[in-house]
Amino acid sequence: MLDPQIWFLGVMSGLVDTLRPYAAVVLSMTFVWTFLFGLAAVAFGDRKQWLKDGFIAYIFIGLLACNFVLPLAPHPFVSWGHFSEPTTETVTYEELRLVDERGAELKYDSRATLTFDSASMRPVRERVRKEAADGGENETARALIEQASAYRNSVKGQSTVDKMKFPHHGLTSTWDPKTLDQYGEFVGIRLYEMTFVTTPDGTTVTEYEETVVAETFVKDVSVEPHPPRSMLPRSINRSASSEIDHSSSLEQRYPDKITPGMQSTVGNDMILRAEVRADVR
Amino acid sequence: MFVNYVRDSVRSSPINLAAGRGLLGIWVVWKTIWYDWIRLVNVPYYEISSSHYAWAVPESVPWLLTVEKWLLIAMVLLFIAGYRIQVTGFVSALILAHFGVIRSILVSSGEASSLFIGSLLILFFTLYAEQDQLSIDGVRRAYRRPPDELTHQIVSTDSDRYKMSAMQLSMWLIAILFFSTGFSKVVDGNGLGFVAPDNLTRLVLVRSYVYPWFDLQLLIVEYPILGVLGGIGTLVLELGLVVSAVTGVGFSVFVLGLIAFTLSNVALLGIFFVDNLFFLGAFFGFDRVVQRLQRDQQLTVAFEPQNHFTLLTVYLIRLLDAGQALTYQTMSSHLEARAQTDGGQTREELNEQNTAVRVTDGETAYQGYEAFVKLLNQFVFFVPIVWIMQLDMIQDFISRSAALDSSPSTETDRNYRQNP
Repeated sequence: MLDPQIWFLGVMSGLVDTLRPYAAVVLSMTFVWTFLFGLAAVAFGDRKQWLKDGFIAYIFIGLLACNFVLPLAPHPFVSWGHFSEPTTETVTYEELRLVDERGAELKYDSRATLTFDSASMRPVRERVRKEAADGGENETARALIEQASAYRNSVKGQSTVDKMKFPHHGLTSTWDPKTLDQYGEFVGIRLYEMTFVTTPDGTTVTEYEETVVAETFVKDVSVEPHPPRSMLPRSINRSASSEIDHSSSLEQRYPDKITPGMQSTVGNDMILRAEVRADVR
Repeated sequence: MFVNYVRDSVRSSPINLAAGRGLLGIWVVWKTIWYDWIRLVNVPYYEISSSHYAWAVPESVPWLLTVEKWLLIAMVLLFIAGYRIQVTGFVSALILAHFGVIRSILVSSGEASSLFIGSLLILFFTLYAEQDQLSIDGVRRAYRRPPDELTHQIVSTDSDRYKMSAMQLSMWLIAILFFSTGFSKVVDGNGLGFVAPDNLTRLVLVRSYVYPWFDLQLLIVEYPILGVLGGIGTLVLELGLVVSAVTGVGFSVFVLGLIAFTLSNVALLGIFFVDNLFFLGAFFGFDRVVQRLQRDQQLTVAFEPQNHFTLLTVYLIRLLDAGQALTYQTMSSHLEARAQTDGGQTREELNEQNTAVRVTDGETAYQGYEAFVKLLNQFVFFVPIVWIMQLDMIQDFISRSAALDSSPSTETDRNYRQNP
């Protein structure tokens, strides 16, 4: 017996595949049609109740279809799915890191993409990866370096007006003047692939590995490859101090909790943290 | 605390509908006024032409988007004021959705999809604009109505019924979206995979390296039971909002829970879905707050229905009178009643001042300008206006301009004010 759920999903993805060549037309027409229908309902709905009722029904049927039946939501319909995929023991992430002339690396702040407004990093990373594979001019990577250098100055001159702006969706990995002071001029950018292997209970990272997938430097600059990291530091902004001299930021944050002689490296950040906690308790 | 419009979309005052419209409008202005479209269109990272929605971006004339942005702001401000809601609301919804399309090309997070949610909510307000009484449109409609009809509505003691279909539809939309996100967690997780002890723990643990954030999140790693409870709580809140809306059980708890959930995402993941706070906040019981902010005194408001300004002012006060604490009478029936109860004084004697509005608090009668002050003073949030109205300078100005006006009613007002 065929599982009805699988059958149904098969039919739906078949439908989407069939319509794929016409996607631009179908998706665009959905948008145009929705607002034409809406305009008619607003303009004539007071006299013709069925128009208003029909539009409301259309919106809600569309909404239910996009959320529970179709695998996509054409604009202006919306489907919400957040962190719904369960995590697996091995997790891979990608990130872009800027490189300064001394070789110190800083995670790219997505707000640099549009100067205090951010574009999604995933498509940016895909482009960097693709351009590197094509072996061309790496236009995107160069633009990102330029944009980051310009944005860096705006961070320092951030005004009260900037602080009144609508809060960002993502609040992590943002630059502040103090962090930036620890870096020299950005001369390159690297795309990293980071793999975490975690214990089955998800409480400990047992293995960490990172590899450079793509890198671009401004002309005539050569920077030594970054020594391999056994683990990432966990401090906010992953500031230069933890990057450059490999001292964990824990000492700065809990100076009285670090016992003298305790060897602190980025690699044993987690062990250190556990000890600090135990001490605090 | 929050109003469940799915169960009952009728309120005894039009305040919530106006407040919902205002909150939505403020959100749109705050969110979109910062958009720098020229920069957005010119970024070299994307090939906009590869998007199915490339038509939405005027690449050769990007300044058009800036013009559109300011048009949106203007339209939304008028929408907040409730001016020609059908036009300003529709144009706002359309531009907001257009912006949603363009931003979705560059941004994939909920930050962009919320523009479409906002657009649909504004469309709901636009579709049912005729229900929106506490708006410029509502006042204009009231102005056009025959005085008798308006008078009848003001003095009627039947409790008022203001239907709010826009709030009901908005609530359905938000509840369905939350249900959908909970549902996707159940389907993608093959049941309870999302709440499995390792899932949220691992999510937070790995994110603490990739997206470093405050140490608070590590509590979940240290005590995975917190993650399990948090996961269960998330599912209960997301799936339960629509159930609670339909059954009416614990509705405010669910809304508060989802607000807490939105804030917990800030603490745990560094993700701030500000838009959610506005969407959920729109369902707050604003009318109950207005009711609380009303002074606890029994006032009787007598008004002259033939005086249009007075009639409209009393009508507006009646709309704000969420607790229906005031008694409204026409001047003639009021004087009739007073003549009977006071005895000795005839209607003509009482009517000597011949003012268009007379407010009594049991003992004292206030007339004309002072009656308006007394009336506004009934609402705590009018305190600044009342304060200004009571300034000597303003009072002098009013009585002087009243003196220039030769109409008998204002003349007697002035006499009254000088010799109360």
